[in-house]
Amino acid sequence: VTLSNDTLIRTLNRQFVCGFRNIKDEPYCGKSGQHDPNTPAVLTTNGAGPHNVQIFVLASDGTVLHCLPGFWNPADLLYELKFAQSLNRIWTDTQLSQEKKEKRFKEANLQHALAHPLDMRTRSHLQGFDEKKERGKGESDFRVGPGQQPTVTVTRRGLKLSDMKTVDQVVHERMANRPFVAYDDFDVAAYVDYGKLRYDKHENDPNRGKGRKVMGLSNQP
Amino acid sequence: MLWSKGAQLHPTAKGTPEMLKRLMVGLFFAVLAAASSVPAADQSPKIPSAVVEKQVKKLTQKVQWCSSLDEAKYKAQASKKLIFWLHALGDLDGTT
Repeated sequence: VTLSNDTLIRTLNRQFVCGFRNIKDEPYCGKSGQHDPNTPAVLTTNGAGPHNVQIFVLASDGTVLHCLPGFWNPADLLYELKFAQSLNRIWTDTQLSQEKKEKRFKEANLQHALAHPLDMRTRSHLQGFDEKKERGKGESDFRVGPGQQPTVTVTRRGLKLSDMKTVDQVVHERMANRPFVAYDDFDVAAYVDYGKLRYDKHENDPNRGKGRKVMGLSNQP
Repeated sequence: MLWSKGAQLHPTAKGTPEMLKRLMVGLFFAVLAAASSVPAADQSPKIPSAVVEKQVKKLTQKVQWCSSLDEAKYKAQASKKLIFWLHALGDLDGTT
């Protein structure tokens, strides 16, 4: 649904070569309810369903510039695609040593995370069951660390502070530790390791979401 | 201002409680305007099946998808483009 956004389709056609891989047999792939193309879809938060979907941006030689796990809002996806394009300029800069490229890659990721607008962070909070899973772990990079500010997001009732990071932040922190890795060497399983492996929002349950808003045909996320 | 259940400021967070209170009040007003335009993420609205079908068709018809990474690399090098490489559980037409 995200990828059918008109602006995104134009961007993909003009600036990218697109490719697709079905990961159903990969060990890191999650479980899902059965879906057909004509069953309703559910809009969700950035990064939800990380085991079932991964969006890679690769340099033309197959080097991983960026990887976004799970669902992403079209505007946020476009924002991250532009970021990946800026990383490609570092990767293809013949004046820079490998060491400097890696340093800039790391810095760029951490700076970009800090610059994410509040509404993007709000769209990137962990789903409740994923947050529960992360809280249950002895160690999780989703926990706000010593010296770090609490996460601020917006809810219908106002500001919310949390001791758990949002997915958009953790994605950049994880990428910062994987500078310019070849696609074949990218540890997808570790990278997408958060939340529940089985992701089923009971889309086909007729009683699910009773009384909730139903989206019309538009470029909504 | 709301705190999530069980959420706490980390003990090493800088600032006195008074400073923190002022910061939070400032932050509250700063984001109040933004709040009205931010959709509540937990609503998870449903998209009707007819819309999904139409959007899936658009995605598969308007974008040319490579199934081989080597092919994508070859095309990307020839056109000086980056590669948008999608992993998904199921087929591109939305079937899982």
